[in-house]
Amino acid sequence: MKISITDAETGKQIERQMTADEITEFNAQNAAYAAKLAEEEAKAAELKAIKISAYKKLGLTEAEIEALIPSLSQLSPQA
Amino acid sequence: MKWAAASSGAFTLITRSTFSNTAANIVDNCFTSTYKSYLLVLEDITAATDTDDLQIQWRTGGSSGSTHTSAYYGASRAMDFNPTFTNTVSNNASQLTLHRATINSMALWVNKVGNTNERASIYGTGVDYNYVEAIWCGGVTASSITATGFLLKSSSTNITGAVAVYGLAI
Repeated sequence: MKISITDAETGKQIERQMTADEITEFNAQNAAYAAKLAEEEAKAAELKAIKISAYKKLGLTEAEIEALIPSLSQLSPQA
Repeated sequence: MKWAAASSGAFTLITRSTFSNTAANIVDNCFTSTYKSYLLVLEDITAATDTDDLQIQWRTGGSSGSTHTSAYYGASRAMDFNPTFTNTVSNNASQLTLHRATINSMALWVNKVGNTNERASIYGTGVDYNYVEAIWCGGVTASSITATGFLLKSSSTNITGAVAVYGLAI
């Protein structure tokens, strides 16, 4: 894995391989982010299912529910 | 009647760097006490996997310093042509997510950097070429830091593009 580093003070830019420690830290951050994203997406899906269930109980048709569901994307991350 | 000469407010190009297929792109020593506002112009940034999120982290301590990896808070909203909205949040994260994909150009204003103990802030707009969306985003650090630079990355794969940093004279 390569990293590009620019020093604005000197104007120099280098490109080098990341160290083992840097790669470990980098991958750990990305893994943690992916896990958090998956958790948020699961919560959004759960909320969507609850909304659909509630709309059905109100007697709305599939088309009517479909028209209402896009508003969910404004309520939850990555919906 | 005649035009008066502008006495201030000029943009100064501090640095511009290009990068190709790198895991991360760092720009150090671009934020100092010289300016209060900085403009980051992200020129056509792409990731190996377009749908990877575009992220930024602050750097502290100059070229021998480190990357700040905690307490990022912020949000990004994208709207496509339908229009459908998509939100992405950073909630006490290790990085600030600027957008849900990395195939975009953005103009981002940066404040509260280059001086001691400030909550670095960033906000701006952009366009996504893949989802064809307009992007609005903003975020701050919960903790006070002395940001001297930044790191650009995607949430997973390598990135390619260019970034220019301008200082705005007061």
